[in-house]
Amino acid sequence: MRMCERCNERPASVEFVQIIGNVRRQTYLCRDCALEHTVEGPIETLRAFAQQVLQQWLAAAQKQEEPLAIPEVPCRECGTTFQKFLESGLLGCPVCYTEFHDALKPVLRRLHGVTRVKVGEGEKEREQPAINRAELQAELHRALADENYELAAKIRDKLKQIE
Amino acid sequence: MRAPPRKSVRSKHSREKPYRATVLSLLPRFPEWLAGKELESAIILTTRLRFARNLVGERFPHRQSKAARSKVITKIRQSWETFSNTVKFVALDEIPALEAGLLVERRLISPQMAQDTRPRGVFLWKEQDISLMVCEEDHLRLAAILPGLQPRKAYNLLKPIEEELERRLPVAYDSEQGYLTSCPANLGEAIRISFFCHLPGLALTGEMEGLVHAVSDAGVTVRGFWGEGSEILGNIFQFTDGPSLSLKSEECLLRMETLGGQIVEREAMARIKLQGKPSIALQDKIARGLAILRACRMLEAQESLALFSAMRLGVDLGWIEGIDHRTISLLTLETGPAFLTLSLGGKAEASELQTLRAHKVRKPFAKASFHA
Ligand SMILES: [Zn+2]
Ligand SMILES: [Zn+2]
Repeated sequence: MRMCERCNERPASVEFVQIIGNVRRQTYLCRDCALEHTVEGPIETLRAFAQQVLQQWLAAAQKQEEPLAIPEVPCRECGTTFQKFLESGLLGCPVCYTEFHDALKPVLRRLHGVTRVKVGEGEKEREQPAINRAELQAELHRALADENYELAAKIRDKLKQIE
Repeated sequence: MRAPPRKSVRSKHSREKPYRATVLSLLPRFPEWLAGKELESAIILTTRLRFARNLVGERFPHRQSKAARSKVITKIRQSWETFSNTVKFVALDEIPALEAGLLVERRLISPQMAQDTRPRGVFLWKEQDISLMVCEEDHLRLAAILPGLQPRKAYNLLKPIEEELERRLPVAYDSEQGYLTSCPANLGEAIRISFFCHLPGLALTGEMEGLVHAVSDAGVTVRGFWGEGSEILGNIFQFTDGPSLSLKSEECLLRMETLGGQIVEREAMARIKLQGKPSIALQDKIARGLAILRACRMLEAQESLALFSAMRLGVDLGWIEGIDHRTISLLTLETGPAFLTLSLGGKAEASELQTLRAHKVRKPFAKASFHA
């Protein structure tokens, strides 16, 4: 029988799923422990996400011939080491960003690259029409909420064109 | 909805004695975010948006000594307490754990923040739709919670407060990285948006996977209970947006409005399916759920969440009349363990909580009826 992963005392009866990006993590919990999850979970799932990305990055880098350039000197302001950051997903102070500037670059690319989508003026690069449609619907919704019926009509026309 | 008369509660719970919780006196009414009315707020129960900010020249909270934290808290309080006299500060290390638990139930602080033991606190707005957490993962976490799909409204509500914060306090910002946060995944505008969704349609039709697949590329985080037995936890799912260093706040809003639209659309479609071919098993579950809520004498917290979910679905499918989402949301708060324990004087046995919970739900559901 599978036991609850949190208390390890009672049998697990539900599966708590957390999907971050493309990674899925299941936790099997008993009813009592599960209840504590029903309150809205931490809005900060991003730290877990960061840790996950950092681990993957480290693992991938270790397989390569070239060793990773992990800075050994700790931050002069707060004493946090880069190694420590890689483990915890947290930097120690605002100055860490300057101190570890170069080493952080690939990390930030990994972390933020996942979601890089340009939607600035003149460079709409949304590839899937499905998203476009949903986006238009969101705009339509807003236009209606603002009682901007002229704009709403225009958006409706665009939606029709897509469909 | 009116609360059950206190007298009858007291007679059943003789131990109940007046307990003047610091926090409870600051939260006299139920929060504004219960007030959602439109279709969307039957699917996206609430939208949460928060800004993360840190002070220049200070270590991030997790690297601060107790003394340094206290100093930062004092500094923030001094600069901020003149902001408005309807905003009150609560030092979380000075109140009992139970009261911190109430703030978690009201979603004004994070569960981690309640569990921490170091100096930390929260500014509470009277309407309970805004809170400013001090020394959570970052020095400042300004958050709003609104009913339904309203990231833009939440943003507009918080932005002037955020600007005022930056006028009063030196906030760490870098032209390349944006606002400097203790976790680099929050860099950029350091805005995070999340939806708290009730998705019984997708859960029952097995279409959650499809939705998750559609959103996972955008770096969105989905949390919830899946698969068999998951309904016992109320079919609640949380969606949070991903890292956004390169995105302007407008783009963050647009991205989540789009996602919200997709969630509402898919869940609405799933419910149309359920309505079109109503299964006798589903009708039985909802009718039986109502019968339990009308008759129970003891009610466990988990069971109440499952039943509330079934009742919400029943209301949305037009099978249950005489009760609305707002009442159910209110009951969810009124039957939360911390709130119940506080109303029993700050200390209670599990059986007493279950009895009081049953007492609180019976009356409002007595007015509801099932037709299918
Ligand atoms: Zn457990
Ligand atoms: Zn540092």
